[in-house]
Amino acid sequence: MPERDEALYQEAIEDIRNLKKQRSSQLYLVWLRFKKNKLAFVGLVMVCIVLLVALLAPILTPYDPYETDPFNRLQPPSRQNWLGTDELGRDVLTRLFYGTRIALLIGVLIVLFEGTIGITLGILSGFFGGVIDNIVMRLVDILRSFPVIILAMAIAGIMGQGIFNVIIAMGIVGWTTYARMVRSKILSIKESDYVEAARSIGESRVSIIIRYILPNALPTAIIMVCIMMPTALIASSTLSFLGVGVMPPTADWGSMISAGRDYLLNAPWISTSAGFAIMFAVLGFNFIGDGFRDALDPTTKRS
Amino acid sequence: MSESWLSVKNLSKHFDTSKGPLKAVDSVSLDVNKGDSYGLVGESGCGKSTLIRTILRLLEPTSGEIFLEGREIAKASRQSIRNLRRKMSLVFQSPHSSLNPRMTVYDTLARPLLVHGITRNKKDTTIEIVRLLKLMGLQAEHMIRYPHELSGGQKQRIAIARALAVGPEIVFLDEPTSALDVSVQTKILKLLDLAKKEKQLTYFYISHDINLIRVVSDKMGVMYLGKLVEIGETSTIMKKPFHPYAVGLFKAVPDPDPDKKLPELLLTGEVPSPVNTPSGCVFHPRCPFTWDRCRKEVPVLLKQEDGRGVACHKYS
Amino acid sequence: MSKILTIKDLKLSFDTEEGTVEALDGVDLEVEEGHFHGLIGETGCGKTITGMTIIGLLDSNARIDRGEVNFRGRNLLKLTEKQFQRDIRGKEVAMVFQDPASSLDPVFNIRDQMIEAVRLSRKDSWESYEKTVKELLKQVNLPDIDTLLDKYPHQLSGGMRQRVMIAMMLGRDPSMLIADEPTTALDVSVQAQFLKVLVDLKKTTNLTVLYITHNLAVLTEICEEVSVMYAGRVVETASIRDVFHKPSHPYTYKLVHSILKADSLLDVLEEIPGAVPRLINPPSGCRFHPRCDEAVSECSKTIPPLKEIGTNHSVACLRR
Repeated sequence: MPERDEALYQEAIEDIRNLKKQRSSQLYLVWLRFKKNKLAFVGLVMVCIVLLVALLAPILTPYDPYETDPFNRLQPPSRQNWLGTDELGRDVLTRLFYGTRIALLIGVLIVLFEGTIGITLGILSGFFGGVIDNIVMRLVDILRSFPVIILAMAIAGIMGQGIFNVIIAMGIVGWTTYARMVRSKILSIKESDYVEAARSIGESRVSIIIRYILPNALPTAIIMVCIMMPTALIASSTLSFLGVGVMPPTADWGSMISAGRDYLLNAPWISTSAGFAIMFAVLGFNFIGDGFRDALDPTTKRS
Repeated sequence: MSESWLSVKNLSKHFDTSKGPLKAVDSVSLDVNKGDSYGLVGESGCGKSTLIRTILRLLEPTSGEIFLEGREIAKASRQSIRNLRRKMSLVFQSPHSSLNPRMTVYDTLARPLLVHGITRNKKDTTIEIVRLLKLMGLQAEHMIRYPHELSGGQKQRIAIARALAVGPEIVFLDEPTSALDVSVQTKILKLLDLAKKEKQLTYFYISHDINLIRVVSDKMGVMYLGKLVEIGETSTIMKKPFHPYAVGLFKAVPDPDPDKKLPELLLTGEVPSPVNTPSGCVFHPRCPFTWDRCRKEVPVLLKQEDGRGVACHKYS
Repeated sequence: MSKILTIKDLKLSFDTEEGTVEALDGVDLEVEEGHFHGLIGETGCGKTITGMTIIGLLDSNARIDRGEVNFRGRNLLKLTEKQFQRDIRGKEVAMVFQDPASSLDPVFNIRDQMIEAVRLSRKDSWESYEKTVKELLKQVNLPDIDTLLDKYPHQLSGGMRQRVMIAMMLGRDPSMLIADEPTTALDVSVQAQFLKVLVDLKKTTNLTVLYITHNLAVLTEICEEVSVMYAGRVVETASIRDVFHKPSHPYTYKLVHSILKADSLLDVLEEIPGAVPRLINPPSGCRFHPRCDEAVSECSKTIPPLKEIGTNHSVACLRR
């Protein structure tokens, strides 16, 4: 009865079109829930500020972050230099602004690098179990038994200083957190009724991973990234502070704190303002991470 | 070769545990005729869920045979299992966990159609989904909803629609109403009955609720600790169960009639662990009629005069 | 006859992210001293919250808007947490939950936990405590008490834990017990044993029980009266026989006739269209009206009061 089918189809399309008009999209609902969470919204604003500063650094400041001025060393905050100058006479605010670029670049790259390794290995280990799981998890155990910073320092020490070595050093250690979280999430999804239901209708393994497991594990991964971002920022600053990370004269928050350390008594603005910048960015990302956690899960309703 | 449409012979499913093998299903044999509604009743941990999952080949059988339309499927290859999935489907107890929370109703119902190539384009798929939704008393607009936007009863109807989408011949129903409110239970049972008639299905219910099995099934089995203790026509068994466990179980069900008083307690104690099951008849520690033979010899299902099968030395 | 508990026009709401949940909307309930009173309803009808209100264990986001809960003439809603702890909870009113595992302490054996419970009610020697404990455990039909005393909660089955809970609660000799779905997690054969314990208690003590459940069949065995709740209101209160033989509220009628019985036929089972409403923006007037066959336009406007229609039989329906 093709005519009846056609009528059924048209009617269904019409029904859905009507309903869609009244409904807001899932993404919009996530946004609404996110927005309701005031702290998350504050976090979003903070991160946006950081992003804008990174993008617009050259416009926001008339100075060059690398141009030294021996006659203007260690000047306190003034109308010309809002946050004063450092030991080489460079404008601290300008270096902070340019430092944002480095911080974000390193942060994003670390998270991308360790996230990719960790999430992939977590999925493989959780889904296939057995030997793969054993190898991955023992590797995680071994890597986690070292203090992260020391291990990263050792790696940076072997490979030498520099931004990319910092990223690799952090990534080699950092992926374990992702792998663990993602693996346990996958394990619980794998045991769920809806995955068994998928098997019972004849879904292939690949399809089960792509259509059932990954979409449900995705929020965990996103939340992980948001939570790990500040950790990456702090860790890279720490490495720079310890002198194995970003090399001077690159404008970097960690090395600014380190450099300002010698002048902490007579020019405290160098270290404190860099420290504040780190805190600002870290807090922003943390707030967003918490907000995402609440907003992405349609099933948890906090009472 | 078996004459029954679905025939299970000496099927076992054991799990390895640190304390020894857990005999979830132990040498179970049963037959289901096409078009019947089979009901399997038993308390939690009796192995009824494991049994249907083993028949469905979601679990690997430890030993035994399963015949569907005379073809052995217990050792079927992966490719032929895929084809089996079109013939046998499963409805889960809890619709709250059996639907993928990140899939719309449309996708949930489209997957079985697409996996088996039942429909090939979006239009045909949509039409088929609308048909399934209407069969389950839902509307086309439900297609774009997510599970968390639906009520429990609606979710279970979607889950049933998904099980029907592959065009199965037999549907296994694992406590399909026990996670739902009483007031929507009847609706689900009636919809299932309607679908059975319209699509000429065979149903295999499992439940702990004796009254549910009584209402929905023609043939039934009573399971205890991985074994079938009594099988036969539902009306015959319900009228007068033979096996002491079945007698006790039926008596324990509260009768919703205020004029009847609490019946005498026949079952004492609780179901023992399925690891290290009792010797001989697994029911003997709780049975009021235990004698020597019960402790030593495992009773087999023996056919009685009225056609039922009972696994008890009292009836052999 | 005296009423041990009287709840009058209790209105209670929860503030949640999504809005205000009007969980209880004018609950009226009277429980006779020494009776077993059933409180039946579906998920989210407010039966558990009613129990929690009586025993003073509401979540922090609960707000009592109006009404009173009188227990032996004392308004429980006016009590401070300290007074509740000292005078009511455990001592006068005890509660048994669905999951007994979470109510027992996993690190103490049954003997220690039981003795602790008995010690709270009187000061005496250790031997006498242990004697009392054994008597209590015998009262709930637990077998092999001597070995049981040395076991830990996780070594017991669900049914045994539930009975230990009852024994422990009896140790403090309360006047009233609130049982919230105590058998829902149990198998039928174990449930039957548990109900037997309650029936025996009924014969030997003057305990009042408020039995909360969604399973009407369980109540027929033990209760004198039943109150039916729907979406935050009591819609009918009657003797157990009247509920079955003369259900008056359309919801009660359908509920009673949707229960699977020994002689049920699928065709004659009643079904209720739609689903239980959510209590954020619940239906106006009678909350059952969108699912009711007999609803008239008035039903969506006026909240029906609970009015008496016979001896010990009251119903909240405009059409009655």
